[in-house]
Amino acid sequence: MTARTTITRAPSSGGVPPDAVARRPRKLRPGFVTMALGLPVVFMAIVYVYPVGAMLLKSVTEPKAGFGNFTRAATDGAVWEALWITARLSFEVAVLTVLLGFPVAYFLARTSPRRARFLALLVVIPFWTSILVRSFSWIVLLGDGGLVSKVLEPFTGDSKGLLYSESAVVIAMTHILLPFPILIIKGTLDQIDASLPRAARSLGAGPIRAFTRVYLPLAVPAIVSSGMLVFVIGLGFYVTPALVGGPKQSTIAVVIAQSVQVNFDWGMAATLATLLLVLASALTLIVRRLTKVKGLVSL
Amino acid sequence: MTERAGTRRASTARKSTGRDGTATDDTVQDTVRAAEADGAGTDGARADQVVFSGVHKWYGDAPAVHDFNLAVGEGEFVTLLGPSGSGKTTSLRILAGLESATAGEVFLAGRAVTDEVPERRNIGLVFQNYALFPHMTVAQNIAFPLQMRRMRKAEAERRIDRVLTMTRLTEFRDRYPRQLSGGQQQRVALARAFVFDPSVLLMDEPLGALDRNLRDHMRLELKSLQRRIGATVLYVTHDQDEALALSDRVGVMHQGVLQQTAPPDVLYEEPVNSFVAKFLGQSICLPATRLEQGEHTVVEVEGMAGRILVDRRNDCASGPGGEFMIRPERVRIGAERPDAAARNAVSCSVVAQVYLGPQIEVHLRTPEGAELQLMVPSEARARFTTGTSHWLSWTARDCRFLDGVN
Amino acid sequence: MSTIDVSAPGTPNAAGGARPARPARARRGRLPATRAERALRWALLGVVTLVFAFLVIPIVIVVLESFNSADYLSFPLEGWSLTHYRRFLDDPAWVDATLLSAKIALLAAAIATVVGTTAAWGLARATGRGKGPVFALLYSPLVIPIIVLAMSYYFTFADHRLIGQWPVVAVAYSVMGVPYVLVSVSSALQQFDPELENAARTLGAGLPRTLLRITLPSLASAISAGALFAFVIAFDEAVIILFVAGNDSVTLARRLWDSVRYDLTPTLAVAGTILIGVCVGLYLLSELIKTIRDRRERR
Repeated sequence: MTARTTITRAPSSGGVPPDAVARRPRKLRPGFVTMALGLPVVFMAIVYVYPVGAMLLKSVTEPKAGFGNFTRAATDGAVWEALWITARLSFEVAVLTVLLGFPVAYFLARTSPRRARFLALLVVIPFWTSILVRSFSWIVLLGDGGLVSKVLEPFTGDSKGLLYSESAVVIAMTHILLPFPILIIKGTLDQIDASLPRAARSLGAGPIRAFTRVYLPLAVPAIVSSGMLVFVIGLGFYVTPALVGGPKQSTIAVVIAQSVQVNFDWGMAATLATLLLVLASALTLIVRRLTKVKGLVSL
Repeated sequence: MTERAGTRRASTARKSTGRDGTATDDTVQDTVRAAEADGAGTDGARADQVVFSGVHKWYGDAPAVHDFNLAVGEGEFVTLLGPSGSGKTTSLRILAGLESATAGEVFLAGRAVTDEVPERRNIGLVFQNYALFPHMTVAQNIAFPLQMRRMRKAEAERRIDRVLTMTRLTEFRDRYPRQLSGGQQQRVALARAFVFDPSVLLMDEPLGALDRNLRDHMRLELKSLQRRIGATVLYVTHDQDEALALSDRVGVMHQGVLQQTAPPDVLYEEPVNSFVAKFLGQSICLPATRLEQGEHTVVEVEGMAGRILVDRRNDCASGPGGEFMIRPERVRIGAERPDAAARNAVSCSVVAQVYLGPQIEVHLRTPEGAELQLMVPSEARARFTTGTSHWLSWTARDCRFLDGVN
Repeated sequence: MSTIDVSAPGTPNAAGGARPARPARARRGRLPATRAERALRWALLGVVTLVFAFLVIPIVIVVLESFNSADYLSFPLEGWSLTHYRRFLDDPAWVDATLLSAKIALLAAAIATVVGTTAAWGLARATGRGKGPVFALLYSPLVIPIIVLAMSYYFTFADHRLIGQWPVVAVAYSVMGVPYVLVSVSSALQQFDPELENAARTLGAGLPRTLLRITLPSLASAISAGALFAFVIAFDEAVIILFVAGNDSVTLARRLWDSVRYDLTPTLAVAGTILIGVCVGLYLLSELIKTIRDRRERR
């Protein structure tokens, strides 16, 4: 019996450093995981990184090497104008979407799950509808004699529409981007323990104070980050300003398109696109830093 | 398949150890020798189905398994017992090929498989959470390993029917795992793991997810099933009752080190260090120093007056410092000092008693300050009221002097 | 504010006795309200209704206009008819554009699905430091402004004489679908127990067979959801195509864009309705599949 008893003593120092015993040479495995990561990376490098890189390069090589395009853009009043319009439009849309989106998100988070599910569909369906189609629809709605002008006729006295104005662009972009804040804020509100406002009220807070002191502070990160997200997405908008806006609503994207299609000025287009990319990436990174909201795709 | 590998095992093991260039390391050599003496050496007819030889595993710089050596004979049921994080599951997964060994070799049925992919090791592994495929029925789950081996349909059907009968799952054959109870899922996992006649059956806490009653029941079923199919089993658990009830031999693991491997009774009666003594059953362990070594080992125990004699065979400590150990049930309690000279004796008084139904737990303290607990049948509880004095005595054969391992 | 109902009616009480009878008029977890609070609730309901109307009306308008019997866009409708559907179907230009869109979207979705799924699995199984950058690379098409991508592809296609070749357009579109597939499959992989792969391997399946028989079936719904996203993105896309279509790759969105700028007729509403129908239809389909799956899981 004792012959079958093996005794091994514990190492004195609770473990020997790894190099004390000869390690087995690591066999090179086929590396499925490496391949599963490598092939997509190669694919993306060819069909994504290369085109974007080539475009970025054109900003300093087209038509000739140097930073000529950047100085040209910096001294061009139209570029500054476009940047200002783009920022202003995006800001207005961001504020509007959050203001309109929060009540809806709050309502969806508080109503019965079943009703919320159905109503969320009404939010998601526009989200899934092509931006082009929605812009087209706003042309119809906002045009002279369109539905909006008819509704407003008793007040304005004529049937002139809002089309080709800043208001038109803001309305259409708000419509297109509104689902983002609704869904993001709702996601956060769903996480808030429903008993918290009740707890606040049992502690003596009135309904309004329970809301502003307990509920709202918990929602603020989602509100801020969804607003910033809308702002960043708005910066790159092309279709809506081009269709619904007039010449005065030339956003940076519209100017980029014109440089290519009207002026055949690739260098300028590449330069402005580079600027837009840097701006959008920087803001995206800041949003990421500020909050951990990234559930865009789970919509 | 399993038989022809038998006699060749030892030589294969020795050769590969030499070839690997690790021969300079004494531990590996010792290991193989120990493994031979352990399994095939003592019982020539029995082949070792599983051999761990000097296996180490580090995660980065953290050692998870240290110099692990173990041989499991054909048809043997060996359990690795230890607290969580002691390296028992890691060892099992190294054998299954789900983890790679940092150093050392593992052999299955005489074949070195250290670098083999899991699918070519021919082992059956029962996972802790069963890992049943949720999109397959019971029958499809069990058929999976047979399909992977391209077994003919008729033969596969026959085998599936047989294991379904053996595990009493026939009526559940077309159910999905989520439609089964925990115990039923456990049986499916088991059936799936042995339907293809693996060379060894590995089980990683297979009863861990079940409730107490079911666990006791499954324990019996598991054992009888293992006897019927004659499987070689390497079993991992942290439950000592499970280990003692099921196993031919138990290996106790602690901090990545296999402390002792022995049949359950030997493990309980003759623990080699204080960790094994404390982990298995109740024990009284007190720091002690060896004074002399002769026919008996004489030790001085902290908190006990006089010298304590320990049988020479029970002296397992490597140095003069260690721990004195005795099982509570081997301690005799009397009102008077026993007159037999061969008995160790100390006096002490009751500090507290705890009523536990059939027994009472008596907390005692010696005048020198050592504290110990004994169990006494509860009808005697009137004699052990707080403050009463008693003499404890035991023979030199019943106590041990061990290395302190915590 | 006197009572707070702690337990939902019907919850067995702690003593383990008989279920308490449900009160005849159960107050469904709502606190008694003050008058101000009730007014606020109505105000909220009003705002939410208006916002939902704002979200849905533009979509409904497009669908309604497609049935207009007049030759011009008008609201209210002159009358109901299918004239414009007939006109749409009789015009090979529209039909071809629709078929081309479907063809491109199918190819793009297929590529995005393979790339995104492979990468998601690789990311889930990889342990190294490279995971972060790889994820960022595959995710970034989601946040890059579309006009920047459009410039990148326009320049690259023009440089390599690829303008107007539909398979190349599909490859470019697949890049935009990859993040959707990646996120969808990644979140499913988080629910997937990797021990199942280990189990399959100890049972004798090599890695390829394990992935095919065990992993993929478990991810099927997430993969199809991702594929659907990718399809819709490609089917709708209306910016890149403005630059890379040439004469040979006029998709439905591109043709709609051209027409919107020159003549506004109900035929455009038909095209818009088809875009809405395909995308919303697919979305509803995916929701339906998800609901059925959930229900089956729960059984």
